[in-house]
Amino acid sequence: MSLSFQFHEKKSFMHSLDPVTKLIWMLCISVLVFLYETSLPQFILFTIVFSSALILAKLSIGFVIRGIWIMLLFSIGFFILQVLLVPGENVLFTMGPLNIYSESVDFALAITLRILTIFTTSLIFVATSDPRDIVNSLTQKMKVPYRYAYSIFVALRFVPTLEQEAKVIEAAQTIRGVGKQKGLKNKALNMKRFTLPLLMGAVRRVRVTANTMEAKGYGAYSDRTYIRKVSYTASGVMFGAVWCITTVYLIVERII
Amino acid sequence: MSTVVKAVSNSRKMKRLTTVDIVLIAILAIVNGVAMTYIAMLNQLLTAIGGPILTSITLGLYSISGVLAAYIIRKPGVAFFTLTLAGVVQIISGNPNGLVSLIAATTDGLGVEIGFALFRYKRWDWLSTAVAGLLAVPLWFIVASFWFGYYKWGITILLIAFVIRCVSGIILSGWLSKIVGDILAGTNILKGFNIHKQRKKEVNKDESHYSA
Repeated sequence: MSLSFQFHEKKSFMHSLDPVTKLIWMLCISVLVFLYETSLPQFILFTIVFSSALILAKLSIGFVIRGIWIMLLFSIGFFILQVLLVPGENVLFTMGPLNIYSESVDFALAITLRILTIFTTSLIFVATSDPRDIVNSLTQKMKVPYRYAYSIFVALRFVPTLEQEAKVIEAAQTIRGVGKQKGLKNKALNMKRFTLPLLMGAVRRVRVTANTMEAKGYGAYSDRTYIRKVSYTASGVMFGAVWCITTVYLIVERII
Repeated sequence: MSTVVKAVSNSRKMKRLTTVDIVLIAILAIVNGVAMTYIAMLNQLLTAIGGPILTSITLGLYSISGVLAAYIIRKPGVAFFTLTLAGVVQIISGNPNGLVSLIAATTDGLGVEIGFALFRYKRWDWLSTAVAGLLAVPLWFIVASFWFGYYKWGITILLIAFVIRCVSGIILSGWLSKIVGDILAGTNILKGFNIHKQRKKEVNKDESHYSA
């Protein structure tokens, strides 16, 4: 897991927005990237998202690049593959026995930018939203029953525990001389030897955790009280409205 | 507090998810989610090398937590809830695909749910898990082919990718979860879940058959 993809406490416009507005913003961008198949609009969208990462969320360029460089690397591979495989009409240039078509280059560029845009959007969302606020806005604003929404907390709480348990299992197997072996069959056996104890250990914790939660009154009442309240801000509503109107306008324009 | 806790009627208790169910779902989702973040890297590599065909091989692993949770808990809505939760957790815990993985997880969950609903949540064997694993595929394939522009690659590549995805869904998602679920049930740590109760019933039936 790369460190860039975690919440970073800061003071910026994106940090002050509530998660619901940010989710709407993410949806708008996802719809917009879905709308175009040429590289120019995709490039404009990518520039907008990238600059909002720098200006609105106050993330440094190094931070964003560090977050997306793996994706960037793979996008290049995907780009080359698409240039070679997607059929086109106008020959842009010839490279040995291969004809490179301008349409396929355009299309490949558009898809690559689309992937990068979505990637940067999620980076902004994750880096600027406190997980506690995400769950709170699910229960307070979107009216998801808290019994279900809090399962996100339960899941997140188990990440470090499981990671530690994985290390213990690995160490225990190494001590007993069952190290990592090569070969496809051995790899599959390794997976089985490693995953099953991890899963069993996790399942064993289920009942204890559930009992503890119920002993503290989890799920006994249909509603609960909160220390943190999530509220919409005026600028947040404006931000969401502008994006929604732009998206709807562009969809209508695209269809007509 | 003046609120009186009302006892939940028995018929609703059967269908409703208990806290134990929810915690089990959360744990399965996070195990899958953490594993997925590592597989996502592999997946990007496969996409870069072989486009839609090679990525299709590992596709079944994405929906395994949903099929497994439904196979253990055996209540309506479990598969959809598990996979949606896995999607949300993947976003928060840093899957590079972000929103894409959430939509993929939700569509997968819908497919698996339909798969088990077809058997009215009564049949839990090789056939129902295979159908559930298979149905996880088509909905996301349609969305993905538009999103990543696969549809321009020509009908042959698309068909090959689709068939590989279906096979991967049946084996890696459907049957693998049945195998894992049976192993877990065999260790007696799933006492209290429907899988254990129904297994016991089956065993008892067999025994009475032999004695008669």
